[in-house]
Amino acid sequence: MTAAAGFEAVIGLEVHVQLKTMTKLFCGCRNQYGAEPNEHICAVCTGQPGVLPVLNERALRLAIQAGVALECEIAPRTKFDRKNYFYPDLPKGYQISQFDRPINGPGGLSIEDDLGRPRRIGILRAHLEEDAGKTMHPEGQPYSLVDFNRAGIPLLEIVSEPELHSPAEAHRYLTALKRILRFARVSDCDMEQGSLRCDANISIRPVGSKELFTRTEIKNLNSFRNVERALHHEIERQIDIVSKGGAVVQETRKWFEAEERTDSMRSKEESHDYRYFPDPDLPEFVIDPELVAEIKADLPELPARRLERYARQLGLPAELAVLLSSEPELSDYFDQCVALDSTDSTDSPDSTEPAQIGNYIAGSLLQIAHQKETTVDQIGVPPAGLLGVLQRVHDGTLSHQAARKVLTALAATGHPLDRIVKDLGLAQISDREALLAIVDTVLSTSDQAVTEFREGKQAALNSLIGGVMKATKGKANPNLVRELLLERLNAPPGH
Amino acid sequence: MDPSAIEQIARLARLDLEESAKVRLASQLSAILEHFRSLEKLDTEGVEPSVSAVDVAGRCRPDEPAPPLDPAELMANTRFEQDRFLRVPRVIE
Amino acid sequence: MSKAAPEARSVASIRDDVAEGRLKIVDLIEETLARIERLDGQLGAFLWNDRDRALERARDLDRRVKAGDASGTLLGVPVAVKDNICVSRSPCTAGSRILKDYHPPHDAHAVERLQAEGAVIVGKTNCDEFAMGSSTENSAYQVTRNPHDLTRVPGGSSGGSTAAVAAGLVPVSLGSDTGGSIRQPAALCGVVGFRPTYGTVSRYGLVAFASSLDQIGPIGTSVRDVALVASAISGYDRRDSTSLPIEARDYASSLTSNLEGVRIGIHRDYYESLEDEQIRVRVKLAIQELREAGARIIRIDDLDLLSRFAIPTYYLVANSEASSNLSRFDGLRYGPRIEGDDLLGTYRGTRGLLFGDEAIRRILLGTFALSSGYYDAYYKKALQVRRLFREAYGAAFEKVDLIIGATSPVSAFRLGQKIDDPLTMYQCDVLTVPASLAGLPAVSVPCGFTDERLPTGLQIIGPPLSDAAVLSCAFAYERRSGFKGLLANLEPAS
Repeated sequence: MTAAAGFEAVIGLEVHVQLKTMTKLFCGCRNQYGAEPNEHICAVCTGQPGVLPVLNERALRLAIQAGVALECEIAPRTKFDRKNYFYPDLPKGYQISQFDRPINGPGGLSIEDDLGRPRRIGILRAHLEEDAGKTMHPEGQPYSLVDFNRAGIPLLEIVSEPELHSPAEAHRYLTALKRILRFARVSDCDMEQGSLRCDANISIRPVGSKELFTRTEIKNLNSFRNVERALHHEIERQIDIVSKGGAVVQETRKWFEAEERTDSMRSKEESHDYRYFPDPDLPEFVIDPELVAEIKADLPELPARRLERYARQLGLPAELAVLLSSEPELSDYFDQCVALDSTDSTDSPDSTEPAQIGNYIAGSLLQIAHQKETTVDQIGVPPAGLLGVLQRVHDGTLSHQAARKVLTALAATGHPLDRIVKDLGLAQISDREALLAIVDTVLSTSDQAVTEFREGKQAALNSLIGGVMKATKGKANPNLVRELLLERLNAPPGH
Repeated sequence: MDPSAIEQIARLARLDLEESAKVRLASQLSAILEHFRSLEKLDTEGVEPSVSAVDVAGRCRPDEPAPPLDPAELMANTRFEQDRFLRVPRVIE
Repeated sequence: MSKAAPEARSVASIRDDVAEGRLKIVDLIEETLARIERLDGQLGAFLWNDRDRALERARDLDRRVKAGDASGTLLGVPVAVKDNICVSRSPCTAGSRILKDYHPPHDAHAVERLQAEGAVIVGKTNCDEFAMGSSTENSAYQVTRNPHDLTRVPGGSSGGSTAAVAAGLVPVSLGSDTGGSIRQPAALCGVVGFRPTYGTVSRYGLVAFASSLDQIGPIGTSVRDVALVASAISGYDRRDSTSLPIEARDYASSLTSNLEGVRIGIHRDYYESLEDEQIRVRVKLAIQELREAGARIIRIDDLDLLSRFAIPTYYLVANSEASSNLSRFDGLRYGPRIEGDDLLGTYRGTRGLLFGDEAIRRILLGTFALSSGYYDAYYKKALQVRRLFREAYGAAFEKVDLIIGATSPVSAFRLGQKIDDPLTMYQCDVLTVPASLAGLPAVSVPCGFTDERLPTGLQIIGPPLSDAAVLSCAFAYERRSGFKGLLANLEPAS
């Protein structure tokens, strides 16, 4: 659409993620979502007189961790600056942020462009700053209400280069960024809980131009989908203006989801003069290169590497590899199962294919996790449990169907596997002798099917298998049944 | 520095000033800033700004919760508590 | 004008008397509170005395002593605290209406330390609003008068704390010094005031004026007493990121009157160039005393920057930081609120009405100096000049161990005399701000009276972390000159 009109979009995203620390950035209040209003506050984060900020070690560490994951240059010396403005949820009348010496310098991440080709999107910087409190505006009231629980929570502001060229690319950038930061254990990146927020900057320009034109900033984007939709609308709006000979005004616009449009955030003030200056309460921090090396070494394996490992080394089908490398808990769980399996029985006929482990996780376990509204590592099926079930599938004790039931029961009860199998009566009949008898019985009463099979109709075999399964109330090992039927059917006459 | 410049700075600093105050302040600040501009006489080419009086490296604190304070104590200094929130005049977006 | 006052009790003598059972703390505190009640009306040093809490604390301490625990270097000592230093659940106005009725939930680190050593806080003292001033006339609440001449200022901004000591109401008090706010009033009131090396006393609990310049320090009638309090309050505090990682110091035990081999620098800006002849004479005599105590007096010229550039540099840095530090005072979370039509109206109305003139002036100056287009020429420039000041002092201290001179270019001026001209008032600080800019330890000790019977002060400055040496030199001078405890007597003639 854009290209058709002769324009291309230039998009940059500013993402704020809350870091997973136990306490706030500059005080010892808890960093906890969902508490009662004004439960986690102290003199520091409510801007009382006489108190001072002290930097949270873990926040600095996680910021560096994020920088490493995003391939950023880590600053050897970093400092904090005050960003001065007045707002009720900003208790000190300034935000402690970073201006000219951010902890993380240029970096980047990879996405696919609209044609599926890999593209690297640059990250300009990622810096530490404190979050503000929350202001609520009750409908129709002459007042607003402020909750300071969020004030002081550590944020990492990640600024991309304006290198995204479509709303879909923007969405993919956000997805990739979220995934990397979750795998790096830096943030939950949950937009609903507010641990990830996004503002977008967008301008348009004639296709092929290298200049940057006037851009607008879009705020109030509360989901990746809304980012995409808002950008789409804003591109249209800008093209409309320019096509009619007008000029785009540099301004901040607010996205309204229900109405599907952006409105200018007309403010009574002139544009902010934040009067940034170095915070005299916080001396410069020297970043120990050994700390950075340690963080690099300890960094959890990132999703791109895992995907490659699953596809290449473990030979998983592409879709399955993508799924398993999409969430850290899922991926870690899968890795644990594979590792456990290979230590148990390398090269033995009992060892399980990683693909099969993967399928079971992607199928049964994810379903249970979804029902329980949690992650696969939290559903009560330890890796040993899954492997035990798969073992029993291999040795014929359980059919695939039965295996699913066992896993559900395991998640629900936590009982030992043998007991579950017994209680549910799910043990397959895998005894040749016993099955042969039933096979023979079924064959003797299924003349038509037998004849059809001999005429070459493979479908007839399925109905014979079905007959045996019915006679055993579904407990016969279907593979063995098939094997035995074929044995009998293909036997020379007279036997 | 004239009264309208004073008004601009006062807006930034969220200060209401009467007209007479702005006039007075305009002349006072002009004189003071004139005096401050004497620093121009010093050559500071290549001189590193000194934010602090001493050069000491920043120190962190461990990510450990502080003993919880009674939020009521902090709220005790305002009359404007409402259902655990702080009530403030409407913010116009 | 001031008659000789009774000799002040020293901190050590109080402590010893209490420890040895000769003195009940509650009696001493009763007597202190009664004297304050009787005399402070003329003086206006105190904003607030908490009788009940002080007496209860005194009784607790007495019980403790009776049970055998007489620990604490300041046991039983009544202390006054400047009202910009937080004492939990006591008012803390910082001399401003915008903090009227504000009671902090926390104690300042320095206050915690005083209490750990057994001191009894008897009240909060008057000061210039947010410590901005050199005469205490900028307090929103009341005027404090110089005990030696009640028509004159005590100096500022720690005027209340200083007057209280100079009038013999309390033996020691806590003040704060940003550009001279402990040293200058100490000089004008004839007592000892000490500004420690920046970072040796935690700023936790000090209502911030200029973060890179503020320091809490003691005021007393003798160098030893000041050294005892300074020792008690110094030391690393992890709640202040600018706190130096040092142990608490013991300054008192290293006090010596022997200055053999000590190289003392003098500079004309602190001495011969001074306009006030009375002060020049007193400094000259002090130099002589120090020479006779064994010191080598060496003329230095590394500080030629001082007079011309000290005030602009200091005020640009201080006001810029202050303009930001005072942003939190908006009436929303604490303090009085003047509700306007909307949020903006509330901000502007509350701040416009409840800040005093000088605070408003400094906020405007600081906001301007940081604003877009002016930052480099004003704020950044000042920070660069600050570096030059530090280097100049560094060069000087290669040649000398200490620098001495006058603390204040003037003696106590009359109330109302300078209040209408801010620049003139700022010039009161010209001799004290340089040490602040460089974070140096500096003390003012009384060095005699002018012909009008007004006190004068000698300033001793040392390199960073030479607090013990600075106090020691002051001690030596005090010994030789005999100007200890120039108390004013406010008692009505009987």
